[in-house]
Amino acid sequence: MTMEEPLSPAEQAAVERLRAAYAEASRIDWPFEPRNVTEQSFHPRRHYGRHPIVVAALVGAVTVAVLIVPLAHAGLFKHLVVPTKPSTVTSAPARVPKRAQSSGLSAASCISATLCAAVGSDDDATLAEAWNGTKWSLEPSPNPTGSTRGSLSAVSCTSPTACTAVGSYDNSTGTQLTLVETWNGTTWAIQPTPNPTGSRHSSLSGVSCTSATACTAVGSYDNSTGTQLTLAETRSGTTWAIQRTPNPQPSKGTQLLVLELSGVSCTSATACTAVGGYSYLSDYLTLAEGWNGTTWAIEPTPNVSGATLSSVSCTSATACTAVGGLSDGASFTRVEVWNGETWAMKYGGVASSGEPPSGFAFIGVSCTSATTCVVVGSGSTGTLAEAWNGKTFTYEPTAADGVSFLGVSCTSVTACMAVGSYDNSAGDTVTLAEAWNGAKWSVEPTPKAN
Amino acid sequence: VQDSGVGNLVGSYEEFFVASKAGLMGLAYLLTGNVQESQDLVQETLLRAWRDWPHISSYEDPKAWTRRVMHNLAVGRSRRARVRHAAASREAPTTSADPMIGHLDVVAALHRLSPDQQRALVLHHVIGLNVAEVAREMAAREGTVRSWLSRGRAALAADLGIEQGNAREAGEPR
Repeated sequence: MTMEEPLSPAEQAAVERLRAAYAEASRIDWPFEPRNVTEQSFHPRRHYGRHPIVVAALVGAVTVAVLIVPLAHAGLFKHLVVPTKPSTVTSAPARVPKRAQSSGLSAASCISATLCAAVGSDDDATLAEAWNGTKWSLEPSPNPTGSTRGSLSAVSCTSPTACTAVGSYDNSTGTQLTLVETWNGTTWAIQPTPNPTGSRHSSLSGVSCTSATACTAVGSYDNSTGTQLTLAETRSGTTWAIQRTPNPQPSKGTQLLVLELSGVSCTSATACTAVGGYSYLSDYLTLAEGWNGTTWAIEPTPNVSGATLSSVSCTSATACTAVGGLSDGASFTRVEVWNGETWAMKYGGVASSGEPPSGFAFIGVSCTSATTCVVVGSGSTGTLAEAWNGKTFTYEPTAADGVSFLGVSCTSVTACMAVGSYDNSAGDTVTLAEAWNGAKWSVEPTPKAN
Repeated sequence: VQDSGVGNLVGSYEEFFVASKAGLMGLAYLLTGNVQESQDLVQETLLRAWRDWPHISSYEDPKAWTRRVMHNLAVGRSRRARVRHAAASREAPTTSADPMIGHLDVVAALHRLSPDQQRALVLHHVIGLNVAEVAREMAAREGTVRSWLSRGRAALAADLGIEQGNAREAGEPR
């Protein structure tokens, strides 16, 4: 059992109750045997496709599901008798063991319409891909020696030969540590990064670079009591250093549960804006902090409860757009805008007609001007991409259903790349990239990582 | 007469079925809170696994696939069906013979959490995935998952009336 953080006795007791219910339900038996299933005709997926015969097979498979499942529900499964031998299988398939694929892209950074980098994870390893305007290709990214898991969460490119990606990895003892990798135009390489002393969980979620050697990354870490706190690190030259960041103090009588910075956007070495959120038992609240070249300071946000901020995009020191939300409870989406002095909520709440549908959360934003942004996200019913003009949304249908977008990068109003993942027909979670040309989104195939 | 290839497929599926059925039932019950619906969900999931078995059987861990498919099936089931089950449950009160009677409160409390909190709690604390794995499975940021876990645990304990002082007693099924 994975136990990553210390639980209070009350939380431990609640978790044990869940496990007990799971164990008890697992002991429930009923007359449902393997032969109830294997005696049905089956249609191996490798024969699915667009050929009419294959389509017919697919229809057959669906028919089997439509007919058999209700019968199973009615307890009639065992009475179905069909030929034992699957007609379309003549030999065992190649038995090369592999993991159920679970990969995804978390973020993208584009220099132009024909040059983007995207990062994420593939099973337990880091993943990096490059877009040349025509196709995506894999760019091998390293994993720290001895690591048991690695993932990249964000990337920022300032030229074709200078990208920085951040994330985290688990070392051999299970401690989660910050991870930074840089791209020099040819290869990705790991850069050493500091971690807060004594923390068992440190991770970087966002990064923004203003030159090849000047980057700021944000994230969170757990302190010695297990409380999650904000983290910021800056790169100067080849060295990364932790910066002091303020943490909102909980009001009297409340218990702070989580505090994190999720995204950051810098327009110069002395102007960065980071966003995130914090939560108490009863509420989620947005958080924004600004870097003036010397210190980080909290910038008060219009904290209507119910959401945190996930991503921010600044086009100047006085023009930032932050988005967020949580597909949690009432499923709030949120847009907040910084004018250099104050944050103002421009959109928040459950959507009405013509606006983002209920059940979605904004996760990524990319702006090409103070009032021209593309916002992406996901929800229980699929993906979301919206054009934001500073006041209203325009819904832009995306090309794939059932996907989650985690990041977007635009270089003009007619050139955006959104990345994320989706569950394919085989049940694998795989990478996804869609390009916006000013008129429509189209899927740009991404290579399989393994 | 089956050829050896099909025989191997059937044999490996049957082993997987036997090894998975119980765990899937436990997971399905936490997802649905209803024994009958859980059995339906397990059957449908294992049927789908069989239909794609040549593909799925090549995985190191086919259970991850079934877990994901089961979740999607549970989410995709119509609200009407859940209402129907809820109505049926009201019409036929649980008896003391119901093996889950001692766990109804914790499952009800689980279902009062947001769907994301529910799923994150189950994947992390019951199934045993680490936060990064949960984040990937739920297509969310790790920080968001931690938030769901922290708030979900706290809300679950509060809903169950578990205070710090009586945590040990409350940890036992009622």
